[in-house]
Amino acid sequence: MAHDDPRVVPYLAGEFDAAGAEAFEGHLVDCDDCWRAVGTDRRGRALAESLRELAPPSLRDRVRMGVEADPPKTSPSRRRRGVGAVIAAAVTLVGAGVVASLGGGAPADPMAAIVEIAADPPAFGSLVIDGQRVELTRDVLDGRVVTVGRSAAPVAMPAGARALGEEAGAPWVALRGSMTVVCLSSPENLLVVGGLPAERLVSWARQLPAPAVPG
Amino acid sequence: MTDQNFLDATMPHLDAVWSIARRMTADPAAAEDLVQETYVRAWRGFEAQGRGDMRSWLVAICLNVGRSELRRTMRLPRVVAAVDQVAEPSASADVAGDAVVNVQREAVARALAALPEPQRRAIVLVDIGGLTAREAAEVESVPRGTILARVHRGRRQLAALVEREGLHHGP
Repeated sequence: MAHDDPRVVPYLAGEFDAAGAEAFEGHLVDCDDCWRAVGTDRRGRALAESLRELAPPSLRDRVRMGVEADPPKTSPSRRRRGVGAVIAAAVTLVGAGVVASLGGGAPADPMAAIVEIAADPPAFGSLVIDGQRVELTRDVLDGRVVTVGRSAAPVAMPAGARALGEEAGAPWVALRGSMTVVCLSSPENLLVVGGLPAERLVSWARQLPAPAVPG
Repeated sequence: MTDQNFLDATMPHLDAVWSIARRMTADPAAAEDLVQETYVRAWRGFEAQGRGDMRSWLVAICLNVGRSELRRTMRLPRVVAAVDQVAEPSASADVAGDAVVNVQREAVARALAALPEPQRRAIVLVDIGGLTAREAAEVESVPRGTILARVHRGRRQLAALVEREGLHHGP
């Protein structure tokens, strides 16, 4: 019957001093059970370590931007109440659609409003940001609901957002919790909100068919 | 405390948090959300945390967020056997070799998911997340010796399960 030497675990954990390790290694040479136990532990460790993964570069950027966009001293509950109050005050149901007016007494972060709507979206509607109407629709991308806003002019880049490129008119991206907001001005003025990486939302939005012109 | 201080202190541990998040959900997008939420919460609590042990603190947040998400959705398994089906772009032109590695990793992930929960968690924290036994003991609120014993038993069982599948690791 195999013996279960209590020295195996501390030896593998590197807890022995040099003399202790040498003594146990002397035992290992003569003990098949301990030799096997140490070898199997090392194989298991190598197998487990093979599951280590490097974080995707896009995640590194996303985390960095999420931190930079999030004010450090705002508690989540306070922020949620604040956004809820904004939405309650700003969103008015009209028929089956929604009109959200964020002009005039607009919140400091109007993106919070569209993120809130994107998290629990209406069937359709419009949002007014700084006097500009943004028509909202929903779509599904990679199995997730995304909210798409179309406007006559690009939505101005809010604080905490970053341009995805150096050129004029490059898309910008803002992160709000698990939601990503991207804004494009080509081929049309689009605001896209969803829980997906910015690059995915931008590449998808660039291939969207233009909406049918009514009348 | 500035956001740059926070990022300097925590970004070196992103790979560890990511590796653990990948073992908590089968969906890579959900794992990214989990990591993102972990860092946002850590940022909000950074000032109170001070200059303590960043890695085990981040991992503890990640586990808590993951558990909360599990309770909320009741969909996410605690530890899953997922391995990305789409491999990261590789400089290697050895397509067959890469395929073998992927098959091995899938087998290891399945074996890990089959371990008893305490051993699995200990291995995820120590061997995959890279925590020391002391750090893992703090996260799990158990004595350090308990972690060492769980890791040892888990590794032996993991090796046996993978060997049973007929796969061998290493040269």
